Amino acid sequence: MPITKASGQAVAPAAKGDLVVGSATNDASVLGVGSNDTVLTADSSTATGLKWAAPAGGAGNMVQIANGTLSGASVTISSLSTYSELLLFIEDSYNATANGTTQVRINNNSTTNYDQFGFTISNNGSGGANPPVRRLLNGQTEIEAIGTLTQNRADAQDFFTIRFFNTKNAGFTSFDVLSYADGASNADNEIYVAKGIYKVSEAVSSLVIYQTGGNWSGGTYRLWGG
Amino acid sequence: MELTDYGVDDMKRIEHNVETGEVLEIELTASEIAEFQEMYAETAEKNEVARAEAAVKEAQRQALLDKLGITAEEAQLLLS
Repeated sequence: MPITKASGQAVAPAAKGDLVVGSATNDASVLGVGSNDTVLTADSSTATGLKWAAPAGGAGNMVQIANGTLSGASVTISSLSTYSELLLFIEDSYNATANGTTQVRINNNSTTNYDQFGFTISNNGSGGANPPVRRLLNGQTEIEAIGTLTQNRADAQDFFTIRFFNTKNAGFTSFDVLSYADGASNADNEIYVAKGIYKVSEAVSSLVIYQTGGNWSGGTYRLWGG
Repeated sequence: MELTDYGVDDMKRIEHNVETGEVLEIELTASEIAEFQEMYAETAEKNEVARAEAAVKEAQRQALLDKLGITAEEAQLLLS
C-alpha cells in the first residue's frame, strides 16, 4: 500500500517485511527487510537512521555462535567483529603426535602483543600437590591457554575457557584464561588461571586455535558472542 | 623431519565463519606449512630438553637416596 509523502510522491514497500520509515522531516523511504534472525537497530549514519543487524546481546546475554570439531593444523573462527565480548570453550583437545600445548591468537597476530599474568596449581607425578607457581608472560606472540603441562595422549586432554572483553571497539582487548590440563601421567594435572591483555587497538575479527605439538587429533570448540 | 612426523600430512586448516555458518577445510600454503613445521620442531626440541633435565634430576635424586641408604618412601616420611 503506497504512502503519500508531503512532497506528493508515493513510497511503497516492494517486498514482504519491507518497512516505510521516516528519513527526514516530512520524508520517508523504504527499508528492505533484513536477513533472518537480525533485529532492527538505530544507526544515525544510515539514510533511514535504522539498520538490520545481528543481535549484539550484552554481558550475561551471550549466544552460541560457533561449535565444531578440532582438526587439521589450526581452527580459525572468523567474522567476529560485531561482538563486544566472546567466550571460547575448548574440550578434550589433544594431538597424538608429540607433547604440546594449546595456544590462541587474535586476528592471527603473531607479534609480541600479548601480556599474560597468572599462576598454576599442579600435582606432581606421584599425585602430591605442588605449591602454586607464578607465570608472568610479557610480550608473548600468542595467548597461552594451558599452564606448563604438555600432553599428547587421547586420555590426557586440555579443557579451557577464555573470555575476551572489549572485542568490538577501539582499545585493548583483555582476556581471562581458566584451564585444566591432564599431563603425561594420570596423577599429573594442572589448573591455570590468568588475566591478560592484547595490546593492539583493534576489533577482534578472528580467533586462531592450534596445538604446538602437531595436528589436532581430537577435541571440540564452542564460541559464544554477546 | 618428515611432515607426517607432526601430523601435518593432511596439510589443512579449518575456517569457521560465524556470519555465514560456513566451515571450510583450507589447504595450507607452503609458508604456513613451514611455519607449523618450525613450531612443531621447536616444541619437540623443548620436549627433548625437558626429558633430559628430568632424567638428570631423577639420577641425582636416586644417587642421593643411595648415599643416604634410604628408599624414596622413607625420604618422604622424613619430609612429612
